[in-house]
Amino acid sequence: MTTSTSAYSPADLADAAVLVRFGCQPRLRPLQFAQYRDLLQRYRMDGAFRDAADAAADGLDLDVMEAHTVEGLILHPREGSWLSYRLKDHPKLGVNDRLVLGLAHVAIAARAYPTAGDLEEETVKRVSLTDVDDFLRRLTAKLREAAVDADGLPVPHPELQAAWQLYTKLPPSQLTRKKGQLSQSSTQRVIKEALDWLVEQGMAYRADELGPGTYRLAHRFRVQVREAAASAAYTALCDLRRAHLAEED
Amino acid sequence: MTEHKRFPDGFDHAEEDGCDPMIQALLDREERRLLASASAVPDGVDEWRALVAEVGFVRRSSVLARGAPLHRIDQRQAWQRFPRGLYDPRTLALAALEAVVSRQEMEAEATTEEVVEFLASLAASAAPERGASEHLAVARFVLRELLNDAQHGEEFEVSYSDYRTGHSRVTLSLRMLEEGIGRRGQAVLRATTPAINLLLSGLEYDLEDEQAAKDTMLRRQVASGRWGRAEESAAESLKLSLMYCERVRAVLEETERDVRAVDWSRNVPALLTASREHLGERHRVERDLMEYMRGVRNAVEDADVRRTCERVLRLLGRAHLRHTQLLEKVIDARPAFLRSQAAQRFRPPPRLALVGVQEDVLEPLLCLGTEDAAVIASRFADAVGGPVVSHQPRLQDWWASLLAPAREPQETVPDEDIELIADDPGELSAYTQEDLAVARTVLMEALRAPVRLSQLLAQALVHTVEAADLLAVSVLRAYAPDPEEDEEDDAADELADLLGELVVVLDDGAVFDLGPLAGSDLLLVPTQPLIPDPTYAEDDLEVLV
Repeated sequence: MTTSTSAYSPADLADAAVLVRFGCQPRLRPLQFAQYRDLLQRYRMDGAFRDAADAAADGLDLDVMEAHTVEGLILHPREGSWLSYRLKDHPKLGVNDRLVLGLAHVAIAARAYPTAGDLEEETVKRVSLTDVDDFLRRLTAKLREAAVDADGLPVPHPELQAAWQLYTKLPPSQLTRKKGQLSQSSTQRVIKEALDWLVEQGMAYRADELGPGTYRLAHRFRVQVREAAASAAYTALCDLRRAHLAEED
Repeated sequence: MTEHKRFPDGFDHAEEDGCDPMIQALLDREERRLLASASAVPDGVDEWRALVAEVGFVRRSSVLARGAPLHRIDQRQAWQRFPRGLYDPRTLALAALEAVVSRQEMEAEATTEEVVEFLASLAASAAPERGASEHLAVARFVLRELLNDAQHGEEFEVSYSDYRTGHSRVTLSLRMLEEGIGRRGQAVLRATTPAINLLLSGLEYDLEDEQAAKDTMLRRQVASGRWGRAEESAAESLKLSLMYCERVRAVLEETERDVRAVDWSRNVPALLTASREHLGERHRVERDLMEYMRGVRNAVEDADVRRTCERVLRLLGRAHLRHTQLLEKVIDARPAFLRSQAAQRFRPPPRLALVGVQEDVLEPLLCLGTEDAAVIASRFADAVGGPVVSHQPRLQDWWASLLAPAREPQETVPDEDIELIADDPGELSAYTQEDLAVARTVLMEALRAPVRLSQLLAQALVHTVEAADLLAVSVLRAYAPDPEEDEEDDAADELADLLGELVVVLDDGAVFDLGPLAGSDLLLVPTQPLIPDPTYAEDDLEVLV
């Protein structure tokens, strides 16, 4: 504890906590609540209040990523903290289902922001179920092409199954016999599940007026991918590679 | 582009493979390289062995293996229920593929119902003496097998042996038909590339070749006077043009999204040059054909033939228009590319720490083994989630919901009669202190002896309707606590101390109706009276003992 020049009144601390509370409800928009809007304004203008709000978030194991006038306070729970979401907690999800759902998440982000530069510019991106599915299938088709030898015949590789093979095994969009909805095992349904989860977290909005199964991705999603998800996955990938190299040595 | 198809000698395929992955991706070909160079015969192996080690042999066995799903159909246990030797599932399956392919990529794609109907009609011609329901069953059976419904539409796994170097077993996975969603939202069928190749018995043409073939066919048909066929080929020609347009459009669209997704240094310019030449040629050919057709039309007397000619001409005109549109796109492609490049590549460089999601994360991820990939994909999904405030049940509610008696579904009382819980949270706390006091006194009365809910409510109604309402809600809650109740109603909780511990609420099926309130007439039985009544004292003692 440093002796700070600004002494906070209990009201200030309460306000800081209220702002963090608003940030924990990602679907709230500041434009709907006068109090949220004012606190956000105060966060942006008043350094002392910003420090208080940051400290409040810090105590709750959250990082403040951005204070956006339209989307509100964007918070990110640190890995493994009590507010973080875990695919592991998802009920009734086997390892393979978890992989396909995770792939769907990565593919949505990659489809919307393929390059690092795309993560930096604020444009609204649109994706649709078939769009993401076709994109992934194009990539897997390339890998399948790469898995043939000079004679154009598939290379036999009896060792472990690669992730892309698991994805291509599933049908893209099978309709159930009874209701004509996407069946459990089809990849487009998994992508829909991922997108619906993003909608629930205030990162995407349904845009059925642009065609069935279309979603708009909010700025919040871009920030989340840029600041947290992409680097987390990339770091894990690098660690894995290093481990493999160490094994080979 | 297509030279090697016609002159396979001396063409270096490795180079051809390397130079146009984009066109291959566009044309969606899995088995383009039909004319691979023959591999050298390994020494010290006898000649039969050498025959088996040839590439051509391996390719033939792979083609044979790809047909396996069709041969499996009548090996199924369920096929035994149809009479032997009447229906041939292989022909029916091929017919289904043929039907689907004939309408693929067109405006009206083949729907599932149409294909089933078609197969049923074929089955009916095969066995006219059998019932229509059986024909339908056969048709459905074949289509389901093609879709691999037994395994939820997963890919078929077929395998064969590869003797080129020693022996290895190769497993292929392929899908014959896919069910998709058509342009008007109906369920349509689409054939996959392996299925189409199987149908064309492993032969593939280039798009341009196919069009050239169509044109000569058209000329011959027109010359020999087979008008119906001429019309068909004109329609085919239009269809091919549409597909071509679609593909070039896809390249340009992909470019607008990410310049690096397509190789603009060599491949696309080559493609554009090729397509420009091709288009010019198509323009010329179509013009010639149209003139020729006009000449033919003016020469014939037969009205039917003339009408057909008109139709063919119209179709050719459509194709011509399409090509003109495509040519505009092709001409604009380079500027479009430069625009996209300027927008994407020349923006300020991103911060050093940024990761490109596609090439740094997604592509390596797809190549990993399933277990490693699952871990990393989960990491991504978890990090993208944002804060999730979990709603954990409070122990107190949980305990109550565990102990609550199971609710019996009551058929006799319609739901709307016992709608006592207000929807609006503002209304929920609408009970005043007076209401609470009234409800409390009335309830205290109940703790003396067993009493019916209707009696309590009648007493409360004397004061206010709200008090009676509050009482009803509290008693109902004590009878069947609602664990999903997240709007805490303080007023109703006020009475919980009385109801929760001192009274048992029972339902014996009686019903009451007091005007504003109606429903099941619950019975409130005190566990032990607050004020010991001398008449019940002995009973109480017995109970306590």
